[in-house]
Amino acid sequence: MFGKHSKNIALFLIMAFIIALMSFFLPDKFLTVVNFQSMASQIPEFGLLAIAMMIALITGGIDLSVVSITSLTGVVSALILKQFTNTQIGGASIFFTITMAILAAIVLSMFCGFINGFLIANVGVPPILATLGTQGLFLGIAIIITHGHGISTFPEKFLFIGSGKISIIPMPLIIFIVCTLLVALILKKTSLGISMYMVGSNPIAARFSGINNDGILIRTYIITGLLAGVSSIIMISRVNSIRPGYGYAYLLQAILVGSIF
Amino acid sequence: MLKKIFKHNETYLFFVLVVFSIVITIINPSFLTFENFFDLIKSSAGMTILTMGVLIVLLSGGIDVSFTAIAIAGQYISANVLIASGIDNLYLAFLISCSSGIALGAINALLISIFELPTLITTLGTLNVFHGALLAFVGTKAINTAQLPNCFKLFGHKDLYTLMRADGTNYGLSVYVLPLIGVIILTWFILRFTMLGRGIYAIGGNKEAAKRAGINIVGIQFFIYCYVGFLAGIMGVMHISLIRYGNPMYIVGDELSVIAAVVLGGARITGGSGSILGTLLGVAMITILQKNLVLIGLSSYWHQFFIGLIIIAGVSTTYYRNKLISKRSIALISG
Repeated sequence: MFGKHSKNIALFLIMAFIIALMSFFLPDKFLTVVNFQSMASQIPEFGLLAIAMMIALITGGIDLSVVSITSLTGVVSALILKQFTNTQIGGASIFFTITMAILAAIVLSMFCGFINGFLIANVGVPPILATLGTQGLFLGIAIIITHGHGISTFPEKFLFIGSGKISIIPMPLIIFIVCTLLVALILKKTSLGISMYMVGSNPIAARFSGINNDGILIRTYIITGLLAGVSSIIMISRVNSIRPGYGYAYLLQAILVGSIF
Repeated sequence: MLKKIFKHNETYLFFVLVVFSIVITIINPSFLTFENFFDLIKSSAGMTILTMGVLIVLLSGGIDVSFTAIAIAGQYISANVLIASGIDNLYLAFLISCSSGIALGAINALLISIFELPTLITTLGTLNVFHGALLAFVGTKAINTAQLPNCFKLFGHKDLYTLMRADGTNYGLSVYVLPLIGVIILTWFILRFTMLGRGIYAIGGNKEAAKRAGINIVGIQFFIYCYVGFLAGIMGVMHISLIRYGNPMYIVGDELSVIAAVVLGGARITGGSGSILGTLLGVAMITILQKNLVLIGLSSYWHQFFIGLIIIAGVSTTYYRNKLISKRSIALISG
């Protein structure tokens, strides 16, 4: 009825219905700034995973390892934060530590994504199997590093990412919106994005029209990993701790949300 | 002849398994004992039964991730009914568990065949619905050993065949081998000798072609998902009897490792290809790995890592070989 946007309109109507229902039954609890702020700081980590999943689904694949990537990168950046704050100096070095932790998370998550992409594109393993394996691998490394224990209490300034606000807008929401816009830009305006759709809808036709399928797939999974890494930074900063296996319940939900679109 | 054997995926898996066992035995000779083998069979029987169901679903080109919720539902409902009614009968437990499994499987089948929804998304949804409904309507309380009806405990304890250790105590082969072998033979028989089995392979190979050939796709899909539910029901009762404790939060969350065992055994995720022997080898591989890393002195922190590594190594060799073969055949055609 509404052409190619009919799916989005249907989803929007369902959401509007739920919001109306909530406001009708719980007006004094649901329609408050605090409630929306609390939702806005919880949505981003899950939303980033769902977007990561969506990108993999666009290319006709799936990424079961996103939550394990979050665990691994979360553990590594938590260790960096702990290591440097233990030998406390103060001032500029705190920012150095935080930058290091974030950089480590980003580089590591992209590397994890590269491993997925390599297995899928160059070795030829179906995405669901490759990422099933790396799911165990990445989570396993995280467990080996911490022996399954949690790591908690990070420097005060780092917590701003997960629980800070700029005026009344929570910081995670801002990061989420920026990431979403960037992904939308890549998908709609760059040749990478358009190639991703083509590889997903017909890989053979894509190859014959001169697209480097392997390269596209590797880049796809690097972006997927990167988004999982960003999600992990928000997550460890919001809950002020990390344990391997955090957020495992998000995995199947992320697939569900990612595949609805 | 030899060439034909080496074409099979199972051969490679078998060799890896043998090498693996030899390595473990060299490090720790207690691996190669009847006691350890009996123990492995008992603890992996439930998972093996689930893999038979998953194999059939994968053969038909679908995927089912809701079987863990079905298993825990069957287990929890049957145990609760037995406690509430005071009837201490194992057959009744199996009857309740399996029939609730079949009913839940039929819901999956209904959504998949009549409404033609994608199998992964459907079963992802029903996984949460079944488990959520179980927690909301049946309960969340754990069943402890004292409450558990005796029939479960006896079933979990019973040995088919006992041997004596050097110090005079007994150990034995659990009665669990009976349902295990029964399910394997039943699945093998269905796949090998019935029109139904041929139909399952045909749907997985090419659904459209199968439809044109007059295969009743809706009927076969109903059978497949109900069969998975039935097997999950059996597994549920075996599981509670083994650990003598029932918690509605158990089993759910293990679905990917069961699927991993099946695909490690060479079943194609796209359908149409896979074998029972391969699946059994895949289960053996994962079980030996899980239970025996401790025997070679690695702490349990390494489990997850090694399971991931084995899955990657296993599927990489299979698919890389396929990739090379298809490359070679393309080169042959284009000359």
